[in-house]
Amino acid sequence: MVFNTGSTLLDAIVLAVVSRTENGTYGYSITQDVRSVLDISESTLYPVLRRLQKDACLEVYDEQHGGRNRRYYKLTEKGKTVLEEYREEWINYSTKITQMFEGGVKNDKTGVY
Amino acid sequence: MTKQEFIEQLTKLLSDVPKADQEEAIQYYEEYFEEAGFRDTEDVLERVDNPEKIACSIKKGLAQSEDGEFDENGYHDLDRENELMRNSEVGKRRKDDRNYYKEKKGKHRFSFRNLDRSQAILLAIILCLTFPFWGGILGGLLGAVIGIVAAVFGIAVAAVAVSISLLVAGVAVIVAGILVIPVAPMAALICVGIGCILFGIGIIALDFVVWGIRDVIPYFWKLCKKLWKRLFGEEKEVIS
Repeated sequence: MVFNTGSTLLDAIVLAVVSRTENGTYGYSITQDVRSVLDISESTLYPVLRRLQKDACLEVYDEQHGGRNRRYYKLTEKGKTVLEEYREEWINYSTKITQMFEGGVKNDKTGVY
Repeated sequence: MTKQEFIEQLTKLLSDVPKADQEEAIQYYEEYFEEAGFRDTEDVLERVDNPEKIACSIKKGLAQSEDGEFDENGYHDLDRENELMRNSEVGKRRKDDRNYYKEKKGKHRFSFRNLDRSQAILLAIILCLTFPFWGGILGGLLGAVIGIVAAVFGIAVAAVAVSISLLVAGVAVIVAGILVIPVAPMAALICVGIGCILFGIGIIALDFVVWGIRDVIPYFWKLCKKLWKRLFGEEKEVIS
């Protein structure tokens, strides 16, 4: 992709991916989901998950799966609030950019396009 | 690099972070390699970044920095990139811009608009208490301003009156001259001539008045507005 993804947007995408599963999801699955929309390396997400966990947006729990341990990531209440903020900001931002591409944002002062 | 070598190197690179953070990172990548089904001999670097890069961004995350960016090339350490860019033209300009905004944000320019409630009340009290001191000065200044405005107005009125009276006098003298043509033709011609001169001076005077009202007064008005803006109106530009 030609557009860079800032770390805040990546945070938002990760939170959105994790929020889609009620009981949380694990690193490999999150990576696959994010990689379906963003071209990131498979190793990119750990620092992001770790940081979100440190910021108390994500909590972790371990579960045995097929004889191996799987670490599940789940949204905390704070994480839900943060995601909601990001979602609103994104709608705001992307709407403006889309309008701009589709022929310019309406100028509030003069009322002309 | 096999996954075994990758884990070993990452462990080494994370030896200076808290033990728990190090173990957690290693556990994550071990788990990931298993889930993703990496074979023991497979070169992991075809699918993951090198351990140095990962260790760097883990440490940055632990240090609570958000000055990074991800794109198809992975994580960028913006601080380090800025270091490299500092010498290039673009980098310099970008830095200048940033400094400019920093300066703009940081500089506290005094303005009445910037005061909060308590500061405004304090200022009001101080102004009331010191009224005797600055009241006279303010009154003097106000008087001076009113005086100047009145003088300008007076001059304008006088100029209009002079030019109009010149015109009227000119016409009157011309008419008088024409009337006395039958009685004293020579005196009549002199009268008409003087009348024409008066009328001409009147027109020139009127021209000066029109020029004064149309050009000079607006010029001073603009000058005053500019001065006012410089003293009080600075914030308005930022807000709008």
